[in-house]
Parts: sequence; C-alpha cells; structure tokens
Amino acid sequence: MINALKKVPLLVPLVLVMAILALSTDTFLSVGNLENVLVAAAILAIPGVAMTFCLAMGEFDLSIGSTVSLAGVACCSALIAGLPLAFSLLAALGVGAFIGLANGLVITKLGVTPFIATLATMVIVRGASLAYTDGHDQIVSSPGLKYLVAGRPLGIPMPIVLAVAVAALAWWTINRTRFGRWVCAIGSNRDAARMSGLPVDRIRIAVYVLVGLSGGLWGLLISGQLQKGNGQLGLGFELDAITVVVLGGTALLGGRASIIGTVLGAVMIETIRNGLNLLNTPPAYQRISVGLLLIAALALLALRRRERRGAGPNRVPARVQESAA
Amino acid sequence: MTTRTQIPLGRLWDTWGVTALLVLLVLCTPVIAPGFLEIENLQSVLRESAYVGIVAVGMTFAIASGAFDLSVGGQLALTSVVTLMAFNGGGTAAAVAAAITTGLLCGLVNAGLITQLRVPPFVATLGSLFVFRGIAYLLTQDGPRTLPYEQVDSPFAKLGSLNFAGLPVPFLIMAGVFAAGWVLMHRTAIGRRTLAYGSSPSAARFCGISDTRIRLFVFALVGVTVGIAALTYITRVWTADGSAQDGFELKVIAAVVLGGTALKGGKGTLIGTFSAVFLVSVLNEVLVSRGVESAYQRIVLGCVLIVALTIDGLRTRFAGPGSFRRALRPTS
Amino acid sequence: MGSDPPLRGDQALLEVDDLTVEFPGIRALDSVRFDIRPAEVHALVGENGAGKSTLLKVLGGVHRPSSGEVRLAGARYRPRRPADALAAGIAVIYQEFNLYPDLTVAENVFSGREPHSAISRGIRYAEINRRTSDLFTVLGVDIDPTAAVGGLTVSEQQLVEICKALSVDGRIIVMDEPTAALSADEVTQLLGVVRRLRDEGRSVVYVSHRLDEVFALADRVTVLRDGRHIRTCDIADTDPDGLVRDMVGRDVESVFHRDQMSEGKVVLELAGVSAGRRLRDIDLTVRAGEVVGIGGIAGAGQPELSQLIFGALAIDFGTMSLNGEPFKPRNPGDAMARGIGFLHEDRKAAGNLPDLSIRQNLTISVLDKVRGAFTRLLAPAKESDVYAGYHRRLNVKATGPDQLIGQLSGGNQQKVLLGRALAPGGKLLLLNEPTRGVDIGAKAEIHRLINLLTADGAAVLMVSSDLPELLGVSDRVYVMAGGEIVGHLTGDDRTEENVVACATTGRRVFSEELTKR
Repeated sequence: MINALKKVPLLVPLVLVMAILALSTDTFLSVGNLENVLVAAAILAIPGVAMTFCLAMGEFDLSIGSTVSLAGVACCSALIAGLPLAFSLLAALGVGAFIGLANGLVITKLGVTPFIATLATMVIVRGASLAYTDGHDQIVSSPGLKYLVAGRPLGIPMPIVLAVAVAALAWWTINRTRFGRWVCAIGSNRDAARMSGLPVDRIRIAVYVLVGLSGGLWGLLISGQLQKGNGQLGLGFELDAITVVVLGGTALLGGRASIIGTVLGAVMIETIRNGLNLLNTPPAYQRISVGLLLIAALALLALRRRERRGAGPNRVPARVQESAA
Repeated sequence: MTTRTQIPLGRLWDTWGVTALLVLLVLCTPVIAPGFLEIENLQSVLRESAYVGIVAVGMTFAIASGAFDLSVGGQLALTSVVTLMAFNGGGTAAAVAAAITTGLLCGLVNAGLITQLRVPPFVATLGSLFVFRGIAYLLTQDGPRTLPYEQVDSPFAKLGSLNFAGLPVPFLIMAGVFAAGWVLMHRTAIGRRTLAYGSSPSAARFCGISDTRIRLFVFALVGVTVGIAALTYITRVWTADGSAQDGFELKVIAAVVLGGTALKGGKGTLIGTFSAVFLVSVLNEVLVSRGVESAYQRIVLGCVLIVALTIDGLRTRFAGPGSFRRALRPTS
Repeated sequence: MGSDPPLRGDQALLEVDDLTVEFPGIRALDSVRFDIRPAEVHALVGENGAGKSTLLKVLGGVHRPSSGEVRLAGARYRPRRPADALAAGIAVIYQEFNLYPDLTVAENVFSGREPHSAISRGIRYAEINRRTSDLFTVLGVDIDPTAAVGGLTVSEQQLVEICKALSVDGRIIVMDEPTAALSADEVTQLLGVVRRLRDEGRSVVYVSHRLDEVFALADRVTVLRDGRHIRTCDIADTDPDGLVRDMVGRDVESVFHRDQMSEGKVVLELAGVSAGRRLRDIDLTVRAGEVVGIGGIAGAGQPELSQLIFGALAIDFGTMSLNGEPFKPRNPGDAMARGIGFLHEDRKAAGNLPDLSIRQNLTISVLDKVRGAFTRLLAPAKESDVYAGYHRRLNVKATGPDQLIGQLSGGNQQKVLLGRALAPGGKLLLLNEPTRGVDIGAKAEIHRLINLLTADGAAVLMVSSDLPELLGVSDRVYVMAGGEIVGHLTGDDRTEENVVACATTGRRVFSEELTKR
C-alpha cells in the first residue's frame, strides 16, 4: 500500500481535493457531475498518455494544441464536403501524424532543439488552421462524430472507453515492450542508447508521430463535443497535456514514465476545474490553476531530487579525469 | 591599443548579416510592395515594431545567458492591464511606475522559480506565462481595461502615436532601450558576466560568477523591458485584456534568434536583434500589401524561425574551434 | 562465428598492428602494436595521456584509426560504431558507464537485444531476468535483476556492465580503470570475477593505474607512453619497479628544475578537512614562496581538494586558515576576493569562455578593477592595459586582444587562463594540471613563470599528474589516494618511485617519519 502511494504520489492530494469538494459543495458527488469530471479527464488523458512517452524520452512537444485545431478543422471540412465519416476521421488522424512526423524530422535531421522546433510548428500549424478556415467556424452536424464523445457503448461514455483502451495499450507498450523500454532508455542516458546501438532517431520520430496522432484524436473529440472546427480550438492545450504528465510523476528529465500517474493527473486537473466551476470562481482562475499546478509539481520534483542526491546510494559516477585524446 | 585586429568574414556576417538582408529587402520594396516607402507607412512600421523590439532587448540578454523567457506575452498582457488601471486611478506618473514595477515583479517571480525552486527556465516561464495571463484575465473579467474616452487627448494617451522630428516616439524609446542595452551588455560588469555565464556556466563558476545573480539580473531585465514595451503598446491600442498579444513570445524569440544570437548562449548581438525586428515587420508589411492574410504571416514566421535555427544548429555543429573533434565523438 | 578455427594458447586472438590515431593537433597513438591471446588477462598500463583510452576506443568502435590495422581471429576488424564491436564479441567497459539508471538490471543487460513475443510484442521478462541471474551466478555475485540500476553502488554497476559483456558472449572484455572508484572489498570481489572470466576461456584487457592489481591478476602486461608502445612482456619477466621505470622513463634532464627558494610564512593551512566521500581528513600547509605539488592517480581527489580551497566545494569537517585568519569561502567569488587564483584542469569544459575574446577572458575575474572611476562602466583602455601587462609577461601569441580564445593553440589558451588566475592578486595560486595538453615550449615558459611568481612571494598549490613536472617544479609533494593524503615527500624523498608507490600500492610514505627513523 505504502509502495503504491510512493509510486503514485498524486493519489493523496487527489483524494484530499475530492474530499474538500465533496464537503464544500452539494453537487460534486452527484453521479452526473462525477461523470462529467471523468469524461473531461478521459479526453485529457489521451494526449497526456502520448505526451508521457515524449517526456519519458526527456523531450517536449508544444505543438499539440495547434494540432487539435487543424485536425478538428480537417475532419469538419471533410464532413462538410460530403466525404464519408470514416474518411473524415482518418483525415484528422492523418493530419496529426503528419505534424508529428514533421516535428520528428526537423528535430532529428535538422538538429533543431525540440522545444523551439515544436514552438515553431505550433505557430505554423495554428496559422494553417486559421488560414484554412479564414477565421470562420466549420460547423457540422454529424451524429457519427458526436458518438465519439457522447456515445455510450454498454452504458459507458465513449471517451472513457477510448481513454482506458489507450492507457492500457500505452501501459503495456511503455512497461513491457522493447519500444517502450527504448524510449525510457533514451530518456535515461541518450549517449548510452547510441552506444548500445539503439535506433535513437527512429524512436524519437516515432514518439513525435504518436503525440501528433493523439493530438488528432484530441481534435476529433473536441470537435465532436462542439460540433465544429475552427482556428481557435485547442489554444493553450499544450500546457494542459504537459502538466498532466508532470503531475503524474513522469520525470521532466526523462527515463521514467507513469501512465497511471498521467491518468490520475488528468483526473486531478479536471476535478480542480470542476470544483472551481462549482464554487463559482471566474474562469480565469482555471488558467492560473493549471500554471500553478505545473510549477508546484516541478518544484516538488526538484526538492525530492535534491534530497535523493543528498543521501542516496551512488548514481552512475562522474567522469574520472583521464584525457588521452 | 594599436594592434590591428582582423575581423574574419564569419564574425562580420554574424553581426551584420541580418542588417544586410534588411537593407536588401527594403531596396526591393519599390518593386515587390509599391507604396511601402511612403513616409506614413514607414512611420507605421517603426511604430508597430517598437514593443516587440523593446522586449527583444531583454530577450537577447536572456538567450545570451543560455535561457528563454516564454512568459513575455503573459507579462505584457498583465502589465498593460495593470498600467491602464493605474492610469485610470492615478494618472501618468502612476501608470509609468505601475508598468515598470509590474514588469519587474513578473521578472523576479520567474527568477525566483528558477533559482530558488530549481525549475528549469523554460518550463518555469511556460507555467508563469499562463499564470500571468490568468491574472490579466482575472483583472478584466468585466471587459477589457481601456483608456477612458475623455483622456484620448492627454499626453500619455498620445505617447504611442506622437512623432518627434518625423520619428514615432515609440521607435525613439525603442532606440533608447537598444542603446542602453548595448552599454549594459558591452560596458558593464554584469553584462560581461552574463555573456561569460552563457558561454560556459561551469567555467563562469570558477571565475566567481554567481548563477543566481545572473538569472536574477536577466529575468528582471526582461521584466523591465516588458514594462517599457507595455507603455508604448497601450498608448497605441488603448485597451488590454488577458488575451492581449497572444503569441508575443514567439515574435520576440524569433527576432532575437534571427538576429544571430546563438541559442547555446555566450553571444548576444543587439544590432542583429534590432535589424531582425524590422526584417520581420517589413516582411509582414510586404505580405500584407500583397494581400496575404495574417494567418499566413504566422506560417511564414514559423518557417523563418526553423530556417534560422537550422542554420544556427549547423553553424554550431560544423564551425568553431574543436568542433571537428566534437564531431568525432560518438555522442552528440 | 561458428566457423572460427580453434585457437591455440599462444596464438593471438586479436592483433593490433602499427595503429596510429590522430586528432587535430595531437597524435594520440603512434604506430602502436598490441595483441590479446585467448584466455589471458592482459594488463595495459601507462601514465595519464599515454594513449590507453584511445586504444580502447578504437577497439570499441568509437574512434577510427588514421592508419594501421586490427585483426580479430585473423580477419580484418573494422568496427564502424560501438554496436559493431559488441556484435564481434568485444565488449569495452568505459570508466563512464553506459547504463540507464532508470531501467532495471536485466533491461540494461539486454538493451537492444531483448527477446520478445511476436504476438504481444512484450519483452520476455521471465527469460531475461533468469538469464541475467544465471550470468551473475557465473560471476559469483548476487544482484537482483529487477532492481533499478540507479540504485546500485558503483561496484554493482560495474558488475552489470560485465554481465552485459557476458550476455553477448564477449570473447574479449576490456575494462578501463575498473577499480578507480571501488573500496578494498569491492576490488577483491572484482579481481575474483576477472579470474573467473579467464578460467571461462575469455580474454580480459585490464587497464589500471594500480600496479598491485596488475601483478595480482595479469598474465602479460603492455606499457604505453606518450602514445607509443614501450614494452610487452610476461608479468613474470618484470617487477613493479621495472614497470614504473617503463611508465615514467623519460629524459629527466629535459625537465625543469626550479631554483631553491627560502620558505616564507604559512599562507594556507588545512586541518582535518573532509568533504563528503571525496576528501577525508586532509592536513596540509602551503608557505609563501614555495610550490606545493599534489600527486596521485586520477580520481584520488586532487582537483576536489583545490576546488574546496577555492570555495567551489563545501567543506564538511575541519578548518582552513589563510594568512593565519580563519578562512571559509562560500563560493569562488569569496576566494577571489581574498586574492586566490584558480586554474581548472579541464580547460575546455571549465576554463575557456569560448565565445569571449582573449582580453575578456583575462579580465573576467577582475572586472571591478577595469571600470572607469567615475562612470563605473568597463573601460576598454583599462582592459587593454591589463591585457598588455599579461601579454608581455605571459608571452601569449595571438593576433590581438580581440581574438577569440578558442582560436589559440592549447599552450596560449593556457597562458591566458593562467593570467586570469593571476589577476585576483596572485598571493595564492591553485593550479590544476598547468601544462596539460600544452607543447614543450609553452610548458617550459609556464614552469619559468611559476618560478618567477614564487620568487615574488606567491604561494602555489599545483595538482599535476605529470610526474616529472610534479617533482621538478614543486618543493614539496603530497600524494593522494582515495581522497586521503597518503604521502608527503620532501627533499631527496621526492622520487618518481616514491610517488608511484604511494599512489598505486597503498604504501604510505611521509618524509617526516622517514627522517625520524
């Protein structure tokens, strides 16, 4: 039990926040409200899970918010053009994958720092989305797209089904497969990964494609909810996605990944948002809260790291001077 | 000193390359964008570039020290809102004081996060970007803060639109900030130490340079430049809320990087930054005059940034002393 | 590789012929030959900079030879990347481990070669854990295959690296200073493991500074010096003294000998100083006008000692005093304010400010002194005066003060950095490897400069792994091993043999005690 708590340190604060909300509002514990929280958390968990791979590798993707917008626009405009639903969904995912591939190639082949490269694609993709829509909403009325967010197979909301499937697959991949372990290996010691002959660049590209794909799916869910796509969709979402992962305990410097933590991180953020809503605080607080959560989580991580360094057993030793060449 | 120093072509290009491009672009404008060279248009370009340029001075220091400040957009929104509130409450003096103080405080918050809580600079400023914007939203829940209509003829409200000797006042302020920045970077101890720290943090440590002090200086400086920029910004647009200048950080970082300040730190060229600010705005102006929408301008800006960084990456990979040996090593 | 012909005892498994490796400006290996026989432990010894690491990196596929050939079991062996070496059965264990601290032991051992299910893509954890366990049993050690590597001790991590080598069925296992960071018990365990490897029929190349280990373990030994092959022989045909002579044996005449100085009053005194696991119970004095040398093998704590005095490393126990007053610097700035100058041993990583000019590199430690009296701004004229002063004194060869420091030769870079160390006042100088990577001419100039400085009353503490320099330039020598001072040599006791003996065999030699007897 204590071990489980150590692995997922978010559990305690999450239960605390929930308890506070249960006591201070009448509505938090109602079935309808809890379902709202979980559906929102499920939607956030999907990109969070993909971003977990990215952070486990020690890198970031800031372009995911713009991907949401362009993927949503792609799907909606395909539907408006009268193309079949399946094609429209694939178009959105394809856009996401393409953006991810572009990120991966720019980062690995051109050697641009991930953070700046994805910052640039963030602007480019947002620009493309705004340019394509010309600032207008692409309004659709598609029951099929709606089913993605509002459908209830076996009575369970569809986003939750999706999120559980994605999270389970991701958990298996990161903890049990070669690809997942290689991602962590790169995050843990990239030089060693190169020395052991791991296909480092290919793995990095694959991870960016994964993040792009999840951004595409996220776009579909958001567009499905709103039944429209536009250039403003997903503004600032990159912060949400990164915060979820950091809250979940995946180290910023890479090497470790916690899918369960990420899922709980999503629940945490949406619980707080929901609570702020129920307590009638202005929406601006929600923006602040995510930023503060990110900083707080990072500060805590840094503190823990410092403690560990103080007393813990030896890590890989520092280079001992011997400069022959 | 009487020793004549040969300046290699590469270093000349690092400092003046962007300026050359700018001149070239301006020389082409009569053909590609007729009407660009009219006085009023030029004045407008100078005026609109000012607030990006002013913050770019602070950002040049930040990048030269090896860090980014992603929160400048949030800082600008928050500072603008607070400044408008202060002006409405206490007039011009209060507004100026509020702008500088708010900017400075934002910078100190960032520095505190980085030095005291040990959060890496770019994540710290990514978080604080949202916090600053959030606070700005909070202060403008009842609608954007604006200059009251009866004040539009006050000197403060006109600051942004006045010309002096044919030059827009915001541009003059920007030029002043650049001049001050140049002195700070090249003629003061803290400026030199900032470059030294950016060049090699570990070597700087053994020169007695404190990283806390450098971080504090750099992020406070960014804050102050944001404060000054906010003054030129709000006296131009007269209104601000939480969403003011979305994506501002990118414009600023792009200008600095394009100007030739290396991402790895240690080198800052304010002349390059100055020219790059105008290169981007002239490019935008040309695009606008050819009927390209603003959405495409983002795309162009993003691509320009990637190209600039690819070149920066290639330069650091294949140039400079010892690079060959670095390339020989298995680890990159 | 099933078709390899069986090899007989004295037939070489791997042969290195006329191997030359050049880097810009340096010839790291010069026509070196070397061979490894099946089932032998072959020790490779030499001073720092002798070229051992370069040789290992050629075998490991990190560096490519400029000329010469390597043959493995008779066939040409030309690894293009580290993975090739591994595939050929050559596993090199570098001092800086190639491990993933966040992954488990078994995951590290099988990284890149994990057996996995074709359907679920899952790694067969049961199999790799079992195989790892089996390998550890062969090695005679007990490490949990599912533990995270980051939580292991250095010696356990070393064993994980060895296990990795066994898992590819490495025929040749190369170890670079495997015992540098191990305790005595751990060393004994490791030696046992190496013997087991040999008994299994594997060949081990064992690089070590510790001659006691070499004699306890090796079948043959090869000595390198200055990138050249000096000698290869059976271990029985040599003794520690002979080996030390081979390692250091160079023309002693060419080394600088300093003028005898009279000793002044005590400038620096350390009493019982400890810092973490790096430094233990250090007692030391430095007087005005003398050069005190600190010797020892790499990793014994010499640079840490100088960093501690400079305020860059926190002191846990003990006291320091400077000119008779208590001295407790909180950071290098404090130390510089008290007139202490510092030269880092790693010029590239922690010395040069590569984007700054020579002048700026010189004045960075004394910016307060080059400011205008009135404006408080940096005065280029004053900076140039400082530059001109050191330029003459240090004889820096440069096109001018605005040249970037990275464009200078190593020797001239070092002179600039020496100038930077002198600038705070030059009362006490902490010089780490003052002539590392510097050509002969510049070396002599730097030695002459140190001599001049002490004649002016400066106190110098010099860390050097270059034995002739250590003995020729310093008046007294402290020898360190494992973070402790294990020897203090004055007068005629300052011999290379004594230093090497102290540093490598665990013997303690203190001149005070010798004279008492």
